[in-house]
Amino acid sequence: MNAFLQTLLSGLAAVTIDNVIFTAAIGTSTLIECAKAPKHLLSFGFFITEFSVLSSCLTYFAEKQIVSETARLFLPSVYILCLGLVYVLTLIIMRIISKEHFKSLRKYVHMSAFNCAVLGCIFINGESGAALPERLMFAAEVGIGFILATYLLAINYKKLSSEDVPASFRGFPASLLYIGILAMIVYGLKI
Amino acid sequence: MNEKVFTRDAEREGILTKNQLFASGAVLAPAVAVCTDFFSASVLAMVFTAVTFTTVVICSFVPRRIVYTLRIILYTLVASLVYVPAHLFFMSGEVLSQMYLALGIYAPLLITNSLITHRTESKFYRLARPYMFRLAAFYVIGYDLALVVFGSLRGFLATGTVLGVKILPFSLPALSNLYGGFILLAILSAAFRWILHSLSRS
Repeated sequence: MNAFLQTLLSGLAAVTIDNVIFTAAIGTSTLIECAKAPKHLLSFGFFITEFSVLSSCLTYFAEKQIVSETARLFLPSVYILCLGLVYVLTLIIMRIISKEHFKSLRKYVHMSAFNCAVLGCIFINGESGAALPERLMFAAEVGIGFILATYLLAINYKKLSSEDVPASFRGFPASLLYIGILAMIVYGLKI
Repeated sequence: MNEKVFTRDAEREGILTKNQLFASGAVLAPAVAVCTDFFSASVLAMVFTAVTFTTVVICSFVPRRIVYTLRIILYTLVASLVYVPAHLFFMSGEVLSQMYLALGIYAPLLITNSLITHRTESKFYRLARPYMFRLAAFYVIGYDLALVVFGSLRGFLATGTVLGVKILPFSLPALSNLYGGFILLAILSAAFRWILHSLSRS
């Protein structure tokens, strides 16, 4: 029971005070784009989590095959190929399951595949040299943390873009300011 | 005459109205996380230029009949391959390599920047090639200039110094933090908008 609670608490800490958006800014541009259409937040978050987890798994095994220093220079290309494979497979599976869903969700699959949040997660995992379970856990935390961060921005996005905000700050600058304040809170909680 | 007008239009769009950092908010992570002074901003701008412009030029020759799904994989794959010689170049000099290594994962992350993954399809590759190259160049220059202005100002306000010489009677070290980067970028972005708006009115 204690171990379960500990895992749950560390997971909660990972998506809040260790959230990569607020501690490393990874995926901020995607987050702002995503907050504009909160209706598809869960689909978007699901795909980001899926891409992060499955690609982290593939890259873990791919990294094991690359030993020479020269070959390691091409690790980013290997990461892209792994991510590309997951991307294509996701589209094929979606198409097989439901053509209607495929049409409506295709755009979000495209947007969530090649962005800094997913690739950043793969790079951080690669740099850490952690074992597979830790990598998968981290990838899931990135995805869930992304959903949480997007939700926090999405609930206030309309206000940040409203007429009440001075024209120069309306929309993007106000969103950045808001993310900055959230990042400051997270920073304060960590120390 | 037309050439001049085209260049002026591309200049205005890439550097001012669609500035990727201040107006569109693209490629934010490296700017906010590691661009803390003039030098880090300059190195980041150089990596960005080398990877992005070369990739956009090479990928403009990818046939449009290839499906979008594969095209986008190809674009990022080309970017990751272009990144290899850029990485070797930046690792060759002692001082340069130190500044480059300080960028950490944010340097290779540039291979999925939105100029490569989105702007290519939504804008660049819909245009005639000579104008597209010019426009892409100005988009990259616009981002680089914004990055250098942002980094220099951030470093100056955070330390109160320029090249080690104390100029300001105060300093705001919090601006070196991630949240400081977000807040300063928000203020600069709003100021940029205000200036653009004032210019267009006058």
